Amino acid sequence: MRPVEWSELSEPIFDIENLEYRYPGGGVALRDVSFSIEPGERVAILGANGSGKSTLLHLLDGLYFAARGSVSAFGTRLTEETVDTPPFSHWFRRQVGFLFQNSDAQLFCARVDEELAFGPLQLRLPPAEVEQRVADVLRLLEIEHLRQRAPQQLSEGEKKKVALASVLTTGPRVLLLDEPSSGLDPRTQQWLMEFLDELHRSGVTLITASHDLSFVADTADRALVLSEDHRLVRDAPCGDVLGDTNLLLSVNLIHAHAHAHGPVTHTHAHRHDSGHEHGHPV
Amino acid sequence: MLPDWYAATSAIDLAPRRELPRRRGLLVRRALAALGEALARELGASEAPPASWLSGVEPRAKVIGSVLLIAIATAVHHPIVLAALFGAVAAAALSAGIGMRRLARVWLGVPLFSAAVILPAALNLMTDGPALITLLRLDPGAHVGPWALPPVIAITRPGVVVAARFLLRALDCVSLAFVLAATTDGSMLLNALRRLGMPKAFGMTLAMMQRYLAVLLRAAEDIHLAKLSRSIAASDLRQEQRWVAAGMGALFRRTRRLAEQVHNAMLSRGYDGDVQIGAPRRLRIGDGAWLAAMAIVAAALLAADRLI
Repeated sequence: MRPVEWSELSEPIFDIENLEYRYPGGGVALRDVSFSIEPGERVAILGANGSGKSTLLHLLDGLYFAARGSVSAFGTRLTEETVDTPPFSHWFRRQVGFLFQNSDAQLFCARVDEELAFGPLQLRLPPAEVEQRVADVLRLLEIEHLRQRAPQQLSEGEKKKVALASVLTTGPRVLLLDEPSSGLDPRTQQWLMEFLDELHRSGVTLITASHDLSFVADTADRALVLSEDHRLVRDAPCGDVLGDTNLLLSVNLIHAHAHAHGPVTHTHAHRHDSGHEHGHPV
Repeated sequence: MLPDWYAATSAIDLAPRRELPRRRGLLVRRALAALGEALARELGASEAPPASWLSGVEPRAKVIGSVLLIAIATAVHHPIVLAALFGAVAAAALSAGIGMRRLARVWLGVPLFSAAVILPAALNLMTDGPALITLLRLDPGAHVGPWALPPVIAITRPGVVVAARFLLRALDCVSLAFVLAATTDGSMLLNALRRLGMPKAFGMTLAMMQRYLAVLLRAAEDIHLAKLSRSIAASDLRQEQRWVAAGMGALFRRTRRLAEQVHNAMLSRGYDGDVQIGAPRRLRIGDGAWLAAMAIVAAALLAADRLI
């Protein structure tokens, strides 16, 4: 199979058809999921805990493989064989980067600069180019002062930045992000949103798995919604999905609660992305 | 709606049970905490070594020099030569900025363990010769099973020489290895070992062990503290054993899950089973001079051993 140059792409980046995936223990993770993603999109995969968001990202990155249905990337079906065989395997790993939810799993080298060099070294880039990329990405993310630190000496926000940097040194045109805002303080979260926006304006396709609606509202144009029984129940513009309160309630992305205003007690959906104020006729 | 037992006031009636005396339990807990802290400090931290003439030597040259001197330490026999080597290593360590406290922690540990191992060799049971210190006088005809015992059990002069030689060798080898590790950045040391022929997979395992030891120690501590926060009284030994086994199982499961995540993270960044490591620094004239100096020191030690 011939690796395709980015400029020649005329087909979707990802094409998923009737995907079904089961965990090794037998439980269903995804059921009959179909969608495609075009270059330059900003897509959010929304769903409650355990709905299959992370699993879907692992399937898109060629780390898990479908039991039924198919996952194709750049026109090539992702199987254990294709993902393992050069030149496609090297090309694929250069084009697709994955930011894991658990930064401790992502940062497995002894120092930050080694972490950033890992990806380019595995892709057999020349040493001078590796060093250049490490320096450039440290500067881009403003973390030059962390260059010689060990991962266990970093705060959560710093770990997230270093984890992102470690993915960017391979120069991916597609970024898969698994719950990128989890555990981040407000300032770091804002920084991340702005940085992802800059990446997108540079042509990077973003696919974000999250249940953080306020984060997704600012970082995605299109939303794929997974239900708690692991099906894709909606594929629509992000604004439409986030405005559909009944949908969000039905897939456990928001909750309903009862409360009292003096003599009046009522139940309503509780969203944190819109105001809490509301009036009641007495 | 809270169940009745929850809402009831606290007339707690503990069944009488054997409890560990507070003092002993507290001592055990403190000892474990201190051990965990020491391990985390020594193995989990990866501070850059202090800048010195030793940290400037290329890691491969330092490894070769250290291995050469370790081989010499195992080859020489005279305790005076071994003591001279120890003195030289100690002087090099102090001049390279390694603090006395850190050195003392290493030097105090070595004799304790080595003495426990070598003590029998100092006795006339293992090494014959004139007695220096008599420890025990036995009845005539004393024996252990089929083996007859001598009339006295004593520390002999040749036995002391054997024990001293062993202790000094242990001190020399451990000091050389410690100075190498303390004056070389951890990952550069592993890279140097890989370039000198250590299997890549082994080096990677060591690097990952150093990286994740702190993470696992924290996980183990969390499990322990979670249990402690819900412990009202000490349990009996059987229950404690069951709890420890369950905790080990939980830690093992977490470790497996983390290992799978780390492996996936490596795969997603192009790892294909063959680890690529960065290019080493070129050897300079100073590194060559260092190697020559090590060779001269080794030859001098061997010559001194023959002459004394």
